[in-house]
Amino acid sequence: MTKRFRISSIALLLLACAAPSGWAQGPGDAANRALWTEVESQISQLRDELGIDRLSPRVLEALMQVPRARFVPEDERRRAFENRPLPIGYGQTISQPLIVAAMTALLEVKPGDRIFELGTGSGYQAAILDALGAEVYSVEIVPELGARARDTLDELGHRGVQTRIGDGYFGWEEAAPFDAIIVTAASDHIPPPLIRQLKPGGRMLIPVGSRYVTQKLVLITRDERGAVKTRELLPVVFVPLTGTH
Amino acid sequence: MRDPVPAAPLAAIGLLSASALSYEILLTRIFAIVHWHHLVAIAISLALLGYGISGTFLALTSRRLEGHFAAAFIANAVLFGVSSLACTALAQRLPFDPQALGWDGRQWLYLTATFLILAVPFFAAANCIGLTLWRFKGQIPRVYGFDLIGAGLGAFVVLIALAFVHPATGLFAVFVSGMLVAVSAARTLRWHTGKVAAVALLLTGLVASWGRPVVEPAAYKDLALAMSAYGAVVEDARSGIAGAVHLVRNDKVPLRFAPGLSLNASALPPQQLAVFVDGDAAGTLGDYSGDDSTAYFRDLISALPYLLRQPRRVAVLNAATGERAQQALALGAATVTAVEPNPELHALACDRRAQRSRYLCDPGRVDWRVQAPRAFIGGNAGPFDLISLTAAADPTGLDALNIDFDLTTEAFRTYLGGLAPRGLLAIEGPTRVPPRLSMRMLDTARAALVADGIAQPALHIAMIRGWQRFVLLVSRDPLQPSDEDVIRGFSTARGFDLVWLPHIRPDEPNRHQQLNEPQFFLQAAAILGPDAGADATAPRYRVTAANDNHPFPALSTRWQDLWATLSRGDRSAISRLDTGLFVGTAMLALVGVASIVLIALPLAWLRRPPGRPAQTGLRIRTLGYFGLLGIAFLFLEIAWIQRLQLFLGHPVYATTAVLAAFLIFAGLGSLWSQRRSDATGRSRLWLAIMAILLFSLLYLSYLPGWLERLAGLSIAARIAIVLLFLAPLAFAMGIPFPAGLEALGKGSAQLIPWAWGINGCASVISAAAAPLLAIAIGLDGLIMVALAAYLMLPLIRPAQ
Repeated sequence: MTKRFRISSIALLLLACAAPSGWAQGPGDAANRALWTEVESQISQLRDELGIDRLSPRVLEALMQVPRARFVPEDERRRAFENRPLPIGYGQTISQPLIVAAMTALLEVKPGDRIFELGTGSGYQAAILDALGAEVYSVEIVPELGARARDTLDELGHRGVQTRIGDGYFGWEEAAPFDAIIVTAASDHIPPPLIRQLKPGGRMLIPVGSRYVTQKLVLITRDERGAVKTRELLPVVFVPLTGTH
Repeated sequence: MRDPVPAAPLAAIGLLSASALSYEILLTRIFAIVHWHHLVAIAISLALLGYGISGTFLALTSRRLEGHFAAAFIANAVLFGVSSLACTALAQRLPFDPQALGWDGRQWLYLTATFLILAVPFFAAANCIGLTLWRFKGQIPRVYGFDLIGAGLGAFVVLIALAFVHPATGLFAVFVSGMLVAVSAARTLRWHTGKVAAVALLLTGLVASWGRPVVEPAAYKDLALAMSAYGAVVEDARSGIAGAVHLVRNDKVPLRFAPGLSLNASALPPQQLAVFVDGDAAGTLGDYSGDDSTAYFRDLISALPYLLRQPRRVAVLNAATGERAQQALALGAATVTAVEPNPELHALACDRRAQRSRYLCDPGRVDWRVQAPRAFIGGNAGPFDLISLTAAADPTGLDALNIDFDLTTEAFRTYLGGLAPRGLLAIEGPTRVPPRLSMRMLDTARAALVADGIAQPALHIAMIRGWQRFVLLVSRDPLQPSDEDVIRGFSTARGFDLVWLPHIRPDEPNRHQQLNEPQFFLQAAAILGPDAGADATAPRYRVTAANDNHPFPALSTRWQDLWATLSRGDRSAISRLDTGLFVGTAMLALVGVASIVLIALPLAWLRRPPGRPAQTGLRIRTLGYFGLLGIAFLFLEIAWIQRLQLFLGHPVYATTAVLAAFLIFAGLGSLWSQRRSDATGRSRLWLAIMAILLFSLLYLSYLPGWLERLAGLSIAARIAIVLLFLAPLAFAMGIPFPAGLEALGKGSAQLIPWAWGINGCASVISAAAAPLLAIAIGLDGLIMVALAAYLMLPLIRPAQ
């Protein structure tokens, strides 16, 4: 391969012999409103795929109330109001706001619901569930991420979120059964203990895809007789990355 | 002051060329570990870019360097050594993330910087060689000979070394070689030998004190993610030609890998150790010492063929560390043949298995074969009641450009030929929605059955799916109604969905893992049903059968969708493309711009000698001749690297053997050509073109068949055979370039640097373009394009 260059060098040499920006402090109200207005609009457009018409006022209020910027690293905060996932370190991301909104809506959270989250990540999703009045139990395997999320949750007063560093595979036996389960760290199979810890009539959600693109949401339901079914929502027709970036 | 030069630094040249080629091959391994292993062509493109920039640099600066040859040579040798380490380390520090290339503008900067940084060592090495050829004009054949022999030897030295040492250690050896080159040159050139040796020693001491260079997977790779988990430790790490293998234990958050586990499963997978090859998840080592540790195997989707036919003789292809072989034993197989091409995985499995599984490394139960699966089955192995193979595909399509000859129509025919009567071929793989790999495998099975003379392939195929995995069953005999009942029962009990059965009813699919539409069934029906091929059911992704000419089973994006997305500039739609295809296209754009800006444009500054006419016609012929030559040479080279992966079993073997063959024999062809009389230039060119055509067409027609018979030989023998076959072809390919230069030299020598730049640009771009073009027109098509380009050369030879 490099031969031509060597050959070329002979002739050539024979000839030669002859011849990021800072993030403004503050919640950014206008940007925040614009973000969630865009998300609300997208949810409406995806009603057929998601099976929901729109975000409920309760969910929308929770989404607008929890400051996403506080859950992302300093150098990503200027992008916090963009409708896209952002890296939070350790190869992990904070989900795209659209996905967070869709998952929150699909869980149909009621005040007092007990929810298990596998994969605390930044703590953002747990904070939103807490804002909806749920009792949240969340496990994270990366200690640094778990500690950072705990600090953020404490700073923002989300005392209703219980966190733990460790193995989420077995769920949170002491707090089971759960009305809903969120598996934010998708694996190659759904841990059987989690299915067992889901109440009859409960809902489990798993986003599947890469770090930046959620290719589908898998909704697992357990009916009153214990039969388990999955439903794939948002298959790839869904457009994940919008906004100005 | 002009420095006295007693002799050409021939030993230094030989060592430097060996080191540069070693570095090029090491880069392919380093790319595989840090990012992903599609980047063989990119490593070649990088080397060409460095050599091309050097040619332009020397054309522009050679007069100024004339009086400082020794200093310039030694400085560049030191630069080569230091930059091989420093630039590799620096490139790894860039947070390049191919998956974010579609929407994060910074990634383009990182990618550009990676390219330019890694081209530096090649630029320095090329400077040394170019300067020497220029300074020792009277000894060009000798200098060139040492260069070629050194490079050829370097290819084999690094290949052997990679069997024993990690690529990071190889990098250190390249650095030391650079220092030795500097000292050797200083001694030969009698230029401050003591001081150069002292500096080299000092640098070596400094580098050694920092420890072995680091080559680590990027943060997004499986190994990096696993290691970021609480309690993760690397329990074993080893390296071989086929990859760097890591074994990770985590007692705090035990790893559990059970792809395709039923939602209704009650048994849990045992605690496992995770195995990674080049940073990618490659399997697990489960603890099967407990009584119920294998119970979960029955609830995996891959259990279907065992419960359907109770096979006694099972072949598990690409067995990795043996989990599927363990499943076969647990589900009743009497004997299992585990075929795994990576010797490190087999060694790791059997080193660690003693306390974990009683039978897996018991030769009486499991016959381990370290061999490529297709070569093993094709070598009259069997017959087997079940041949089981796991297909892999990245969920974002990062591996879209990966060549995989184990999942082609021809491969399926080989597997079917290894089955006993009523035997089954089982392919398990990941699902995506809309369906992609699963449907490609289905169509590949159909094509293989049709090629074997089976008129109704739909009667021989079954497929089921879970929420993440599918299993495809193929049989040479039609499936019986009783078989279909068993499959229905298995799926219902475990919550899997039917995708295809010979007598499937439209209301049967999509019951447990529900989609808005039964997409898997509809597409399967489009492939196998009575309305196969109807436009109404045409998929939006590439789902046609893979074959040896188009061995890209993981590729799903169609060209029209790629172009439409890129032309619209719709960044959100980029997320729907195969990441690997998008990144490959991005790299082509990048090297194209880099080669034009850094190689061709600077040559425009070269002034035409006074009194010379503009020679527009000659310039156009020069552009055509050297441009086509660059395209033709690289297309042939890349096509053979890719084609011979099937025979040689691994990209590193194929890259090394083909590069060495082309380097040595094309170089010899060039030397032979240069020594012939000027009067025979045109006839020599015709002779070379005819030889290239003859050997290429001969190999296209017959080589696959010949090599198939030789696939069972040792790797050393197979490499020798490749060298033997490529020798005459490469020899002929070495002739057109000097023939063109010779023609230009007769009165138009001022165009030679321009010719050099054009050839450099075309070569760099072709190396990056070849894998993409191969997708469109196949590997054979790539060869035919190259032959067409070669055929045009005599017609546009740039003679006065």
